[in-house]
Amino acid sequence: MRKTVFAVVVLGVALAVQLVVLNGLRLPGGAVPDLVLVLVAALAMTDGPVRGMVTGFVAGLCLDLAPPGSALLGEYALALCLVGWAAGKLSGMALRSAVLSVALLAVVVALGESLVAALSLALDPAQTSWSEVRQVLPYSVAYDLAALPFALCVAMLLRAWEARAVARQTPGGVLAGAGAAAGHGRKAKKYQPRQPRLAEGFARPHDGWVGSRPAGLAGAGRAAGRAAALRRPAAPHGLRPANGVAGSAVRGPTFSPGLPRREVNLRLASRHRGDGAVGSTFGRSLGHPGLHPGSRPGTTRKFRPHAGLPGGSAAMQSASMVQPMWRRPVSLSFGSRRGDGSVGRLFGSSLSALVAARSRKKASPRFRGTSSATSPAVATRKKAEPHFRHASSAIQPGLAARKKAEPRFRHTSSAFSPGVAARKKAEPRFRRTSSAFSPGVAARKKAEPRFRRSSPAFSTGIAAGLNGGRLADQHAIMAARRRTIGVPRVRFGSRRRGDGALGGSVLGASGLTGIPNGLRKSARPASPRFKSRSMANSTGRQAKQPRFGYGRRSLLTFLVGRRIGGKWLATTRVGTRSGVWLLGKRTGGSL
Amino acid sequence: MIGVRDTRRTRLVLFILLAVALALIAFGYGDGSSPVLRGLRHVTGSVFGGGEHAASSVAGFFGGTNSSAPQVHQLQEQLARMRAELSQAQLSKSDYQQLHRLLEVAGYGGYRVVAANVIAVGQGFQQSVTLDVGSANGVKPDETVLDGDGLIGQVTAVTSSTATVLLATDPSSTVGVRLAPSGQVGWVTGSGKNGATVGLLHLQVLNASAKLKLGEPLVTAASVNDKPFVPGVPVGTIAKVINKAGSLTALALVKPYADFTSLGVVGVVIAPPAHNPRFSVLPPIPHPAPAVTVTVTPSPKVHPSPSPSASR
Repeated sequence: MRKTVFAVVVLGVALAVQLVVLNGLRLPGGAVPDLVLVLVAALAMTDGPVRGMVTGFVAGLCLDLAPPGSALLGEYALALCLVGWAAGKLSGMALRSAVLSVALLAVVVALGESLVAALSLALDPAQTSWSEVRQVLPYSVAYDLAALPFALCVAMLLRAWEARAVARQTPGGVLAGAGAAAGHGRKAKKYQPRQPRLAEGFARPHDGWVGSRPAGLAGAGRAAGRAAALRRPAAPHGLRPANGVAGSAVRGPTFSPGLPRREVNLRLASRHRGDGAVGSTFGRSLGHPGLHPGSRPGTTRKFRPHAGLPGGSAAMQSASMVQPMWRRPVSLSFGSRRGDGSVGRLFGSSLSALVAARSRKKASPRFRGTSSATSPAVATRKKAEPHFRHASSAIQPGLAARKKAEPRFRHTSSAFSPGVAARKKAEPRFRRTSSAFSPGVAARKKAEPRFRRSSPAFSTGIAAGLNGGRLADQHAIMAARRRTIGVPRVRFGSRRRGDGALGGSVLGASGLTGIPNGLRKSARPASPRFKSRSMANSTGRQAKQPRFGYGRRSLLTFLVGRRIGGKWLATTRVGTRSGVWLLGKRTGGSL
Repeated sequence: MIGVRDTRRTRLVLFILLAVALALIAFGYGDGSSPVLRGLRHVTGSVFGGGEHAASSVAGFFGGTNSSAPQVHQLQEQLARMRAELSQAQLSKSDYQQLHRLLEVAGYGGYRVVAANVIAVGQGFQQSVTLDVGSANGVKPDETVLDGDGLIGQVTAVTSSTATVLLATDPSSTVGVRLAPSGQVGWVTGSGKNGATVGLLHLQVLNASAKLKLGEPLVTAASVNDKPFVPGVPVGTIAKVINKAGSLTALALVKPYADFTSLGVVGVVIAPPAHNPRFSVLPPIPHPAPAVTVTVTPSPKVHPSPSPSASR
């Protein structure tokens, strides 16, 4: 939304400058830079093809309509739409090679300018002559290329600005919710109805950067990514305090980073009760393949994020997988298991904060005493009170222990997330959550290749860790940094995917065969990845894949080889394949 | 392959957008004057026109203020106030000369003009500009646009606050002309941004055997009902005679009087001359043209006056 507004503003200004100032200039060669075209290309490259082409279409239409106008309505809309699409396709490329992608962008811009000229030549022969085009086109391309760096600059600034704004808006992960509870009520309200949004906010803080990065990365380039990667460990550290004291997260990070050992100790100490219960539960859940924690009755969409829990458990798993790189494997695994407990706390608090963000009512007196940040949240839910009580128990072990300790603990541990126990419709919710929870999977498709590149163990560990517990996150990151190969890069990749990977890796790691349907479905876009790995169990999805791809084929094929049947197609050859072959391949032979 | 595969959604969006664009083009191509399109352009034109008004005033502000003294700022405020009092348009000092000459020409020709500023210039290969007057000021499509030097073009479309002018230099623009002394009839077309002849007009005279002389002035011939061109507007002078054997028409290149590269204040002729002497009687036609050129060309006569100033 924010970005859309920026794009509109920037393009509006560009349009005005183009029509009022630039077109009136008298430059050598008789051409002027086409600022709008260049900006569309630059914005598209940071935004991806869909946004790119919509941007291009709208900007082109404005150019057609704005008073001097073009002779034919739609000329520029057509040209700029294609430019936006082509430039958007470069967005994935930017991650690999900035130079190459910018060079390709320049080609796209040149082609776009040629397209404009060609359209004008074809549609308006009275106004445009070939000799005119021949004379003017090289100059206009040259001017466009001169303007391109500036446009790229603008696009990237916009990008960075937006990313920063988002980061500011969601101060710390789940804490977005907590912050809302603390007083940013308006914002929270604004996002309230939109579950995915909330989930995104949730995911983002966890991996902090990573969540928002993928989008930003395209524009910001590797350097920014690197910087983010270097900075990242600080975030989990900062968030950690939330573990101990419910509500402390609201106040923001206070701990200084870089004290892993003490952290662990501390956590252990503080854990007491929570740990035991949680640990055991998780152990159990992992032990029983059919029982995914998330699929248990009571997992709700809202609490799904606490699928973070599975994440945590996965983190444990992955921690064991990456053990060699830890200094103290045993304590670590301990830590992580405990960690779950601590995560639970964290989640407890964050959860309640989330809840608070969503339904803000007055705090029930009961919990007010426990912790300021938590209790209002807890109080808001009426039906779920008992659960919240559990939650509070998770958060404040002492409290819980004081009351009926046994059953509750079990509840707590099994659901881990408060309020879980009472919920019955697990499946559908789960589906939604998983998609919401891992926005990356649903919305980001670009990153596939990257994911592929990262080593499985590494990515699982990190992905799970990131999404699950900060604890694991921190350790995983530190470990990764200590040992690795292209860390920031890979981490990024896995991160981004990470959300997607989370689903997969968690399940895969825990060896669960009963994968909830919802998860499976939501994981669709990323399926190639999963197919090779943890999702291998789920059958019946593979056949569909080829249908949507026209991967390595050219634009020509793409345009020509569509569903046009008949002899013509059979005789049409694209590359070394006939059109029919392509068609067959595309439809999986169902045609 | 570059980047990522298109998803289904991407392709869907792409095709929808392309289809819409093509539909628009086809629609406009088939029926350029359909009321729907015109209405659309009218509405959006007034919206964008407002933006262009604002942008051009901003641009004018930046263009005009190169010195940065506070007094200048004060004076500018004052100037802005006084400008606002002008009924016709906001005219900067630099525009004053142009307006003066425009009114002079209009006076000679007996045209009723609405003065206007050029606020936007067309994109691409099209040679068109936008004026800051519209139907609210009495401007209608197919009216002649001129400035203090000569013919600019014709109004092709108007919104309530803007008017689009097709310049005479656009290849698709054709203007009927008469050669001043001989009365030969012909027409000029623009040459667009075309290399060697950029900024010149192509003249074709119907009488293939007409003797064209360098420097011969041209004025517009009247169109039917004076739309789109009123008679007598100076167009330019013959800059080069092209001898092409076997041509059905006499060919020449015309250098327009108006400077199309720096358009400022222009006038839209909203009413043709009351009585039309230009049409039947040839000699009066060149009136406006000499009236303008007189100040420049008869240098011998003017000489005495510069010389005192030079001696002084």
